[in-house]
Amino acid sequence: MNITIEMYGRLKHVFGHDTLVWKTEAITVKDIYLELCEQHHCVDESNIIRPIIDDTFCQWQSKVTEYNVLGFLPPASGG
Amino acid sequence: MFSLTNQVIDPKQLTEAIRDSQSGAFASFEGWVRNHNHGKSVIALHYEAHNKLAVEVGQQIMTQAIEKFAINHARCCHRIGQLAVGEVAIWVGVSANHRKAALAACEYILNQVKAEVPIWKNEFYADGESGWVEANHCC
Repeated sequence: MNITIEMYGRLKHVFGHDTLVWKTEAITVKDIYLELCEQHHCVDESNIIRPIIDDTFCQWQSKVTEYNVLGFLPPASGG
Repeated sequence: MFSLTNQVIDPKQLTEAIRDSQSGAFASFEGWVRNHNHGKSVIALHYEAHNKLAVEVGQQIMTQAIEKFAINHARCCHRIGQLAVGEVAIWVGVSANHRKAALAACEYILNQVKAEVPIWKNEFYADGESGWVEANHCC
């Protein structure tokens, strides 16, 4: 399936992209994230990152479907 | 009410929005862009947000504050975009009948916004480098 992945904050620097068009056979948010980490040689930070699907918070085990926009939010650092 | 803005924050205008005749106390906090961090000279900050979720989460925090403390009104405005040293990055204001609730709610809102609202800070240094700031809840 084809999805779009959006990175926020420092994750844009970590993964080297703001937005990625991603083709995957993975089903869950977590599996897709780990796939990204592996391909970009990044450390798994799923314990502190919050995932979103189509601009709504989701669970790591949430299922992703064709054309979803998946996003990864690092810990907040506003203020 | 929680809001994001890419315009200069006007504390006077925000204060007037929560002024009312039943409140005997008003507490506010302004977060300013300082010119140093961890020993490096800072020349500017850039705040980025997930706008939709930032407003949603921020509004939830304001609702929680209203429920948790005996306050009358609360507002928080967070700046996004490029800010120069000295500019106001965040403003929190609370009005209440009495000072204890106003002060406590103001601190609660600030702490929750810093910890929960999807806003991220990128610092620009005098040496030409830049760096994303990690969450810092100590002060």
